[in-house]
Amino acid sequence: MPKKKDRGTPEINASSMADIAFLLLVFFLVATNFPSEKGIPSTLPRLGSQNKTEVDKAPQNILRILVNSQNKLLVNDEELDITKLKEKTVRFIDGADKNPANKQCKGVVSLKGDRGTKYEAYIHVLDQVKAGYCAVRARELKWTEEQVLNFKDADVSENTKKLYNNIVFLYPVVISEADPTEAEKK
Amino acid sequence: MAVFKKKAKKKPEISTSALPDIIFMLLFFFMVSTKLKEEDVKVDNDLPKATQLQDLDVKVQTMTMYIGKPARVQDGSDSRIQVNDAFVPIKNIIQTVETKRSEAKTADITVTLKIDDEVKLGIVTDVKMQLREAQALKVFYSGNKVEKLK
Repeated sequence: MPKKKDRGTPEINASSMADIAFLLLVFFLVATNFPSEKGIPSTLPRLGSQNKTEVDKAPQNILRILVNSQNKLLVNDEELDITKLKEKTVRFIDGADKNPANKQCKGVVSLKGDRGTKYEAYIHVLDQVKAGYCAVRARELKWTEEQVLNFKDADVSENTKKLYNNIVFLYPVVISEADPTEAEKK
Repeated sequence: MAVFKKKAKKKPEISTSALPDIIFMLLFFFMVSTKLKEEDVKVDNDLPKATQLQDLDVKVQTMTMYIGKPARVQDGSDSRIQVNDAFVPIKNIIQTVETKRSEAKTADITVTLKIDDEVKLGIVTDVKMQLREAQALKVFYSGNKVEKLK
């Protein structure tokens, strides 16, 4: 009887494992999108809230912005280009700040759009108004605007936090959006 | 005199046996960090450009709402609202928010509004009114970051 050859333990060739892993890796690399949500945070006013902020209705305390259905801006009854809105907001904040009557309440930005306004135009206005506030805060804090915008509570010292919160208190972003009138509701 | 015979040295080979391990490690990293798109966006969704964008706090519970013109012709040409893979009529938004709240087991949710830049403000206002009625007051207007508006 022929003697059985001792073949030893068969080895599995693992050299293609790297290729398979590579393939999977490439798939996940392509399919991955890191969750990076960027946007403008905003808080809607409570419905039918009684405690409306008391605002001195003096014209210098309200920045009235109207965006019409042609996406044109009307700021305090004057036509304005969107590129100049930031500067206008800064001047408005400073103007309202100087008013000695404004101890408690600061200026209010009143924003009103038409039903036919493009959403993009509306966001641009919101963006530029926020940019104005951001610029003022940055100037007062002597920070860059980037620093103010990307401010996060978690990664700064107690002192910086206090400084920042103080400025936020002094220059609060108050954007009031007019409720839609009955006729506008569907 | 002794002659040192030069040994015929073999070329040193780099061992590649650890390569699969490294690749697997990378693979696991990407597998874990991947968040596959869970919904299929059925509306046009070019987000508006803006400069003052901030990161959304990752810890908050969010509900994403897409608004835009339907991508398919048979869905009509008027802007529609999409939540979780389905179109939602405006009057059902409150209900949708409530469903999301019970799923998330918290009343405190942020609504991420991914609105196409061509959408008219009318529908956005209606949606905001509904959200206010649903007491979902925290909204987040998604946008694409640019350094300067044109």
